[in-house]
Amino acid sequence: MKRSFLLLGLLVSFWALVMLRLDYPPTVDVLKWGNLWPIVLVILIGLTVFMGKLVAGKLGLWVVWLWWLSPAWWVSVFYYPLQATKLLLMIVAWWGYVSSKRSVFYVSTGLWLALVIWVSWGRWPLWEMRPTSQLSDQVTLRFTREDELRENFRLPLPIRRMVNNKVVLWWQEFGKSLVTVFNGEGLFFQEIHPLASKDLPIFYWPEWVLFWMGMGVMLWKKKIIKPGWGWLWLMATANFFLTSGSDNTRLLLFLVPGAIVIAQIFEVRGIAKNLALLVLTLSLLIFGEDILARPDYWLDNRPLVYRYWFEEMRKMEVDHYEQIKMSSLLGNGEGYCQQMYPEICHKITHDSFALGGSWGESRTLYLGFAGEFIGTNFYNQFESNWKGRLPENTKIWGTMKVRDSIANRYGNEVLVVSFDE
Amino acid sequence: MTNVWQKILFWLILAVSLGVRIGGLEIEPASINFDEASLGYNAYSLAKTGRDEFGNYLPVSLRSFNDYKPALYSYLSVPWVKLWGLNQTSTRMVSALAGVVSVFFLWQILKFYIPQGWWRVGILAILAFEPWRLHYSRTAFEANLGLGFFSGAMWLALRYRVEKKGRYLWWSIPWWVLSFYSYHGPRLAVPVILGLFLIDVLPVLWLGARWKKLIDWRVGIVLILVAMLVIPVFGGGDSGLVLTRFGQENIFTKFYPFAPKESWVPNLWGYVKSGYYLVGLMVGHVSSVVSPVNLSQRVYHWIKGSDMFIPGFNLLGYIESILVIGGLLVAIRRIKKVEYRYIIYWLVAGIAPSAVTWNWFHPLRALNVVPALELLVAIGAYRLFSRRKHGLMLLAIFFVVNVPFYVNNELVYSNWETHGEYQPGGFKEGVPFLNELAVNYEKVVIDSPQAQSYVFFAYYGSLSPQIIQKYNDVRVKPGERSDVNFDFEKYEFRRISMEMIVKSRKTIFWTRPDISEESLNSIAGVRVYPVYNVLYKVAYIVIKE
Repeated sequence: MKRSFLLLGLLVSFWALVMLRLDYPPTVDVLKWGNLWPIVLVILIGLTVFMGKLVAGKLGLWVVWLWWLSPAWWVSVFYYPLQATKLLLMIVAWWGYVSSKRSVFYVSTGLWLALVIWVSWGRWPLWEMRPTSQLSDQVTLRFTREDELRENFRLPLPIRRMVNNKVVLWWQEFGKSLVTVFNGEGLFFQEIHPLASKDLPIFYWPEWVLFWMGMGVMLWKKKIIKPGWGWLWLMATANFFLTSGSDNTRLLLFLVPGAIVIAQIFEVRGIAKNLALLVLTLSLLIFGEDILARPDYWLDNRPLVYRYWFEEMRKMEVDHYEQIKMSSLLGNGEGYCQQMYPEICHKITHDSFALGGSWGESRTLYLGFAGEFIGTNFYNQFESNWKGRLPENTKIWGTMKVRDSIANRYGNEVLVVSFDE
Repeated sequence: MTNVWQKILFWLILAVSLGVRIGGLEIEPASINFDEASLGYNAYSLAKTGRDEFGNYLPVSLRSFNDYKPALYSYLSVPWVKLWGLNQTSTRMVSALAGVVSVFFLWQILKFYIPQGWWRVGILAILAFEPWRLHYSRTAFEANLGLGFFSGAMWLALRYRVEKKGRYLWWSIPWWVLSFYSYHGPRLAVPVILGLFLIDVLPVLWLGARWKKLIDWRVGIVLILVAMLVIPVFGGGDSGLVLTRFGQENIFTKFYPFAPKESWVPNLWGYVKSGYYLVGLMVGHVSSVVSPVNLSQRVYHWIKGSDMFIPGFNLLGYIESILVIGGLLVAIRRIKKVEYRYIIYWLVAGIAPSAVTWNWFHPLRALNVVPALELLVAIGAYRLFSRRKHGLMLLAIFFVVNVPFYVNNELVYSNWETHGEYQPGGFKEGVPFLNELAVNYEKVVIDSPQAQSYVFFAYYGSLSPQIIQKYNDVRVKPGERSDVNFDFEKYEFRRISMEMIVKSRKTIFWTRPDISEESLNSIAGVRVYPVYNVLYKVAYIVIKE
């Protein structure tokens, strides 16, 4: 038990140091809901240790250890308070369920569900699975395409009607949506994702192996922790179908029940347990190094742009300008202004502009993407000497390239520009 | 009586399976892809001369596009080519029949897992028409032939293990050998699976069994015999080139140093990271093959433009792919039983080729594993629904809303989605006409985006193999370049410009469609014939007098 606590302490310390060293600018969520991480961190650590131990004894500490091992968990705590709250409520509900505290279970589940529904209000993927009037268009489309072919296999019309109809097409679409939840790549293989998607790892890849080994232990020894385990899968699945956004956001809650399965491996005495611990420590060190080396690869690039713009303005004499036009392609930057340079917020207009290679207004500072100055590009590709297309006497105060395409068709370079008379 | 009806239904399923696999092979898929053309033309060449297109006498591997395809498919196609001539039906027939044979073996294997007859028939009725079973049987895939043999071997091996009758093991030898001669995938899968049968490792790792009890020496003898019988694959002058395909596709050279390049340095820590990411990639490739979203829905770009592409699907139906997980859990739960352990071994052996090649999820390379996945679907479905009151009714409804859709999707709809991609199209329609015209002209110049377009002219023109064999010395050597086109007789393969057409005389051109018909017609002394594939214009035949 002591060793488990020690390992948990080491893990939390390691990650806390990494996160503090990252010093990444706040996300929109943090600006909106406040920088809650110190509180969330303390509550989560306390709650998880307490409840993990209470619910599953020694194994519970390993479950908690696996939660805190996850990069997605840490980033949620620091940068996505709503996601962290979802995790928190889920764990509380689990505790309520297992310890037969009905009121705790119902209240926390209710709050959790309300939060899940509210966060993606009206954009629920589940809603997309309903039968719609578009199905009749799809039926027509399939018939048209089949008939359009100059030479083709002809099945009797009754058979074609049997398959090209709204019921069958809805069923196929439903199945197609349903299967998306079984997304092993999204859960386990973000480090080496085949589509070069760059969501944060929820689990490290070795945990895929450990997951199936843990499943084996559970099935052979019937060591399913407590009845609430199935409920956790249900909650994670519900979250997946009620949350819009990246795979990572939708899959995050599978961390909670998934870790319980993986933790079973720590029940096995001998080499398997120690090997698992060794490999996971290696995963932690490699990823820790990677996220420090490439924070912009793993994290949202938009806060970086805002930080860059405000830092650049701090270096300049902005009093010289009557107004500042800041691109709104990344959303409204008002929150960032209040956070990073509140003295000049009254001067800033948050709106996208399209100068198309012509002069802008005088005594105005422009902060935007390449495409806003010279015109958009459908493929989001601008030649290396694109700045030559800016009007003469354009004063470029600074430029920065961002790794991701965060404003598609507008390029990956942001600028601070004014037009001298 | 019930048993009789089940047998009748089984044979009916097999008959319909045959029908939907061999029906309309000439027109669906609309036209052949270059690998099919090569297999077909080499069958034609072997039938006429006993040699492949390079003049090699009865080769074990076809040099083809310098990728050294296993030759068995072409040998088995010879009777069909002799019977019907060189056409799409004769080229695809072997794959279609191999698909039916696979269904037969699936039925035999299902008997070990699904004890209730009606359930077994019902499940087979769905699995026999899964998207991949139809698609891979209607295209000339050596992989599908290999799978037919591999399935037979697996059935016999299972009977040996479960029924403990040695004769089945000996009978399995030719099936292992034939699968080895059929495709690259079994060349790794066969030794792996036999190795796993030789030493039944799982009980040692997890069930505390003793090593000595787990080594089956009879399998060891089979392994040695199989190894001896496949020596010719690696013998001969081109023995080193048999592994050409692996050299092109392996994971090791493609992704080195495996770790993110920005932070990788060649020191001890760097190599540790390389090892971590390399093993991760291999595990990831393995996981991708049992991932429901990959099995059914997620189409990667290397699949989309290839002959593996099935509109709307990858391999299995959506719900079936979810049932894989259910079946896998049952298999893990019952792993002490040999027949369930056997599925796990099948998964491992079938996935092995995918693990060491660079594509994340490559259905063709993992084809040997798909019947094992289907067994998991069957087990999952059976465990989930068979105890329910209206289980069979649910299965029947499932059949109705899925199977006719799969059949229509493959036979009728897919040509719309796949034309012009892996099947370049236009060659089938245009080449016979072009060859008729070519008799009266001095030269035929061909400009086609395909790096192997020569084979379409040889194939659709049923060109005498002796002509192609004559040019052996001028052909592109292995490893030289990817464009393997070469000029033969009056056929030249090169880019065509308007100027070239203007200056030429007594020449026929096969152009890309990006030269407009108006500009071609504006040249004095030309006649222009558009060539259509199943959907649109893909080339022009231009005659310059």
